Amino acid sequence: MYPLDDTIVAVASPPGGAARGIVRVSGPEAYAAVGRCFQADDRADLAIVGRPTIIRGSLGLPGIASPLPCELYLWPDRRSYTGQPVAEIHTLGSPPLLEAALRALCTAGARMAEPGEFTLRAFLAGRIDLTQAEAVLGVIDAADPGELDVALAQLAGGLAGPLHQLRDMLLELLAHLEAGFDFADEDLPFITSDQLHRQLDEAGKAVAKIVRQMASRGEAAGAIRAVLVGRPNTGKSSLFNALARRTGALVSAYPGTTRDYLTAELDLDGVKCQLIDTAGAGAVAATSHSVEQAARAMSAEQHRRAHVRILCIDSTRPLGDWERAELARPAGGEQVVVLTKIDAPWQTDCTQPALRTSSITCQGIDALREELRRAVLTTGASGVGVVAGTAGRCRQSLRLAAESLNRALKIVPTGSGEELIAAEVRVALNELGKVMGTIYTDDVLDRIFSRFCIGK
Amino acid sequence: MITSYDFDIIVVGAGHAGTEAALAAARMGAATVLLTSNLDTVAKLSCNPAIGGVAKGQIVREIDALGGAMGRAIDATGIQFHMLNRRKGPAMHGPRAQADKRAYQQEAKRIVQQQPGLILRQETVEDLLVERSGNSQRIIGVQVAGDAVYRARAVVLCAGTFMQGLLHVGQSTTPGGRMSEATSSGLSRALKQLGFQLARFKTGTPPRVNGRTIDYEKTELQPGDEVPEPFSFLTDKIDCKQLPCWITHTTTAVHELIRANLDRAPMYTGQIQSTGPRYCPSIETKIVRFAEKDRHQLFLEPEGRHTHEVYLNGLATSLPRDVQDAMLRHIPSLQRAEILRYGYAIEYDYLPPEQLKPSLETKRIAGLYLAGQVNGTTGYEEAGGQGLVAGANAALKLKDQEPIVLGRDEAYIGVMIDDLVTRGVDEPYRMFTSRAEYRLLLRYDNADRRLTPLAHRLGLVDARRWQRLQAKQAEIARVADLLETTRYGQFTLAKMLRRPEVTWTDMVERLPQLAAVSHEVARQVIRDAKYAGYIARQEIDIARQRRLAARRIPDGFDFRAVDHLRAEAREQFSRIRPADLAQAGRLSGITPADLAVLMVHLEGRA
Repeated sequence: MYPLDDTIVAVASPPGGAARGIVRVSGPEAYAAVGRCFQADDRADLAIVGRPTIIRGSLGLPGIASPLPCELYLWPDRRSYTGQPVAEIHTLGSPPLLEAALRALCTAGARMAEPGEFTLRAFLAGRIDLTQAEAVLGVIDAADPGELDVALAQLAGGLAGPLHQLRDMLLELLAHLEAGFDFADEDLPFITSDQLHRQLDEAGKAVAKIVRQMASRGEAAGAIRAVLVGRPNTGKSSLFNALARRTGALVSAYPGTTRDYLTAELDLDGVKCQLIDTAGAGAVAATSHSVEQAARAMSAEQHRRAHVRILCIDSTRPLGDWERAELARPAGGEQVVVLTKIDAPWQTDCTQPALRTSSITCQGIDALREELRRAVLTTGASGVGVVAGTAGRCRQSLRLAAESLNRALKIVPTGSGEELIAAEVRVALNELGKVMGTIYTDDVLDRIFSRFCIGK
Repeated sequence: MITSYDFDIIVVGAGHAGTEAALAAARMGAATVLLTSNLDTVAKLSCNPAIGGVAKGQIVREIDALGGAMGRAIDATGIQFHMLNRRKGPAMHGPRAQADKRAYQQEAKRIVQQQPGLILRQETVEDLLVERSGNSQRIIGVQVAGDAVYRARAVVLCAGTFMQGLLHVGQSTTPGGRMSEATSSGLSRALKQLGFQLARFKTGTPPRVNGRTIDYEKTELQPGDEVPEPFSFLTDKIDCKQLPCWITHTTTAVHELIRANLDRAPMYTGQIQSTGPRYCPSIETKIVRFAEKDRHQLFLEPEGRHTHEVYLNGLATSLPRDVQDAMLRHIPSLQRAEILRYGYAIEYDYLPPEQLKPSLETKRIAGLYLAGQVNGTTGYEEAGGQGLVAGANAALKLKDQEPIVLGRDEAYIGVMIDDLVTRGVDEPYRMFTSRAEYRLLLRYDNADRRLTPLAHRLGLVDARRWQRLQAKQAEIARVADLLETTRYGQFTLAKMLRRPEVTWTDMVERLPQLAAVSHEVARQVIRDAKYAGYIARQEIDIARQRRLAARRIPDGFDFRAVDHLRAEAREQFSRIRPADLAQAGRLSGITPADLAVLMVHLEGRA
């Protein structure tokens, strides 16, 4: 159940790249939490705000060099939507920035809101009526498992496996400890403190690894990433420009430390995605690496980060080894195969079905847009909004799980009680349970009875 | 002509649940009658000759802290005392004692006979008397064999395994509530007629042998603790001479014999259909399920000081007699052993406990309470704990007062009853520490501090017990305060003591006046300190649960009228009818969003 006196935070703007992004905070500590990240232009003190107010200022976010300009809307007690102190940060609608703001506010004492939590508070404060509240919560309730699945699939992709393994490992460890408590005089295998230490350490490392993997995917949590993949000089950049121009998207160059890349926000008839082209391939190719090696390295990196791959093949050249390998490889996710430069003489020996495009005549570009739209939808564009919230909650749960396992690890050498280790492991399992479903005592007992012969 | 007797409360069945129920009701001033079909089996230890264990020992201490009899009875009649899990932290310690079975029964019966306001009487109850008015029904008494009725405003039913009991030894089956004791069919029929659902469980018991025919040379001695620790907070010291137990093992030859005879094992021929406890399997089940184990541990436990009867703990079975005899021939220490009573299995009716409120009153019939094995539990301790709560709540009902519902953070008894009424049972329910999420708070040694104040307010404990606790609490507070206010270097002594490696001796070195503190008080202060950090974290969660529990759901609330609930949630809520939002949240399959919908609806009504 949702505790009502926690301070909660969530993104309140519509998902998927609205121009203005809104982060909403509600609860007794709302102003304190915001105060730790926000600097008012006129140095106003948030604590003395007595009536609804708008303050201009900036957010200092960890990992983001320059302060982010924003407007802070404040509603003191009772007048707010939830009847509690509420603060809203209005800033740019960039999903990564909003995510960074959520993280900063969680560090500053708020926690990620569960679905429907603002609605519940609004109802209890008399801001919305019963019918509205029940309708909102009812929808959330019905949609919750499905959305969670979508979100996890998107967010975690390959993480669901490691998460299940981690939970299994912890359950097994807990079953061992619990069997030792509850069946004191059965001749059960004994768990040594070395084994305990090793298993806790392993579990802790597994959590850390999942957190890292999630962070690298987190950038994309707010948008579906479509990546142009292909050998250098295949016409990817021209295709990128043709697609971007067609949609009137803003093209921006991001200077990177290892290589530059271009992104564009594509609006495919209401379905949004981020189109990415790696523009530095030529520069890499010019070094001592062979072209094929460079393309392989690039491809590995892009493939890891892509939700949708656009595999570009030059129709004016025969297929290279790399291209043959890529075409033969089963696609992990959504893939669109494109033949470029079809306005020029045909030389390719590619026989696979592919979209024929020309960036000069714009032939096939609309068909590509249509195909991209389908691929993005299949990838689960509808879950994007949920992903951001779920990603935040997952990260929070994993952080708490990691803290518990770390404390448990520190207890082992003190020899001060396996029951304390079990308590920490339980906290960690409860946190994982918030991401992947609750564990009940019966699950632990089932494991004990299936593994150990109990029966004095 | 029908004879009629009038009481406030009738307790049916004088096992461990029934005796505690009757005693509690009488202590609270209700005119109570305790009916049993056999006066010679009051508080009988039907199965193993021991009280307590991990989690169960905590329950005995809780029963004692609430003024019950179990702790005092075992202190007076124990023959071996042993603190389990001593090498683990104090919250995991579990006191257990082997009992002199006959002496235990006599002691419990004496306590019952001495209780003012309680009448013990031999009667066989055949029917429940219920009065209907409109839609509601309430209990008004019971009918007994021989043209007599007992009238009362509340009835606590503690029928144990006696409802439609069926005993199995090999292929032969005999109706009975225990070996050689009659079963009751009237109560099952009466409950069914009142619309209750009944289900069946199975349990079993091992053979008993003559100790003079055991070859003890081939066993391993298991002595009791050097300094036995009492169960009751009123007992200062255990003085009796302790008897040892012994450990021996089955052999592969035994396992082969059993495998060869599985076609005659009621567990495997389909003769027994109902579920038994997984933690207390028969030897045949162990051999089938853990085929790779080449031996199983057996505990040889004496049944008393004045008998040679020895209980073969670990060898529960319903195999035919000749197989039981032959099994022993293949165990070196038992080669010559003579069986005094054969092992058997019993199937019996129980009432799936979701049909009860957290007070243990049935939802269907006002004033009818159920406690003990009849609710699908096993164990003397589990029965006693339920009995005490049911008896106290029956007495409160007569005074028109709110029932006591012990929190999951207050007592193992609270965890147990909440589990029963909220989640139901799919095998006989036994208490484990792993069921108690706040078990660091629920130590065996602080049961009096947790529960005696409540018992005092309810009138469940006498002045002597209350004064003892008050004196102890004052001394604990004084010493804790002393540690809190004494600094040593940059830390207070209280803070130092929280560190795992710091001992009481370290405290006394720095503050010599602590040397005068009693062992018991020092122990409480130390244990409180060692767990303080963890408990502080758990208390946040406990406070949340309490606030939810304060949001009551009215009796007769129509969950089907909550439009936006998921169908599954509506079904669960309607079936269990939780008493408050905290209980609603603990039902299986209920999400936070379900709870939010329910909460919104409840607030909307108000």
